Amino acid sequence: MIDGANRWQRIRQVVIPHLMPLAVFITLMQLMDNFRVFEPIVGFQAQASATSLSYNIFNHLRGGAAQFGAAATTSMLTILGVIVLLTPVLIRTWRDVARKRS
Amino acid sequence: MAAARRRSRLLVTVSASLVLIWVVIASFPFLWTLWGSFKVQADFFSLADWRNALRGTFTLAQTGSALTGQGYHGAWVQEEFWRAALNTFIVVACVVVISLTFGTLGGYALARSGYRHTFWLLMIALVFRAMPHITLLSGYLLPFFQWNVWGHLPTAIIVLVAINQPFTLWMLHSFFLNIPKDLDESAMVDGCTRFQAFRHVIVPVMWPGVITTGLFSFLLAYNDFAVTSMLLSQQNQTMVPRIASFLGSTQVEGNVMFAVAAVVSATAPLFVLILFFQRQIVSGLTAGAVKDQGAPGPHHAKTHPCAFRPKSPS
Repeated sequence: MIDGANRWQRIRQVVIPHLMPLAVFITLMQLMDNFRVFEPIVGFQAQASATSLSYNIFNHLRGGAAQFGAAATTSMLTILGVIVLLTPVLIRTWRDVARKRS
Repeated sequence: MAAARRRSRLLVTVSASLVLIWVVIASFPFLWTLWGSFKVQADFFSLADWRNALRGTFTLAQTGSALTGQGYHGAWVQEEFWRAALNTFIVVACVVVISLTFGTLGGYALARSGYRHTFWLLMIALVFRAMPHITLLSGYLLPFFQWNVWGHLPTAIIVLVAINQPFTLWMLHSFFLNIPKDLDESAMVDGCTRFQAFRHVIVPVMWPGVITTGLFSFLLAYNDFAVTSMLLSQQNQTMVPRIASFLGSTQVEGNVMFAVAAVVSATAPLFVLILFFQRQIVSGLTAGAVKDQGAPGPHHAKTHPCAFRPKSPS
């Protein structure tokens, strides 16, 4: 305002850059939450046309001890995927902690 | 000036109506369920005409009044939903108490410890916090069957605490970091032991953080479906799996309404809770993740080790 920026410039060049870290964080969290989508599938009984890794695990676990191996394998694959999605957050936390320490 | 004011009034109108539309869209499913839970199945699940749910034609014909409590009676009395509610209460209370006890002690230790491995512990906690709950179950099930502990409430409580713990640790750790080290140091100078300093000086200051973390553990235990549905037997299920099994028993006319009534009963406590604690929940959503970049708050200056150091003895 004082520096002569109008409303649009203020939003574009001050507000959005300050919100970026939060937006990135929320994007990652949403991505991760939707990667493990499970309850909507169970709730709407949509398994015939839409399944997810989590639903596959649930299904195998219900199938008795013979399918626990399959469930465990799918679990490991899901965890790998989560870690891949999580890498940016991990790197950032790493940097934060390292900066605090120094 | 007048033009600017007019434009901002336009802006206010537009944003207010957007918020209003959003509120209507977001609350509609719940309000619809609440309304429909007082109808009979022929109305609420009417295939012929959806407006039957509004007019209550069949409800009037079958029960004699426009609204009926049949769904609630069926769920709570006939199908013994109160048992599930009691189980949920036990599980949730135990999970919150146990995970807060370990979480405050562990979070305090992690926040004050100078060792290098605390960092790795926190990273591992972050990874485990992000994992889907159901991936952790496939390892549990077979041993639980073999040890004959499957289906009991304590088993589910232990597993939920274990799943919850990385999250509580991480969150409380970041809350403890916000409390200046000098507080417990000065308490210890005054003759407290480390534990007394923690108990009498740090914990009273920590209440907001403890309450926020407790709320999140509460929500996790309350909303959980994957763990409780796999680990509890049919007799002592908690509310959410019980609702799911109500939904599975749709052969008898009217049984779906038990599920609808149970859903409303299970959601009502959450409304009360969030009404009272929404400030803590919102502030907790991003705690520990964007603390440094986000709005810092008054404590921020003190968290930096150099910013708040009293006269050093040298």
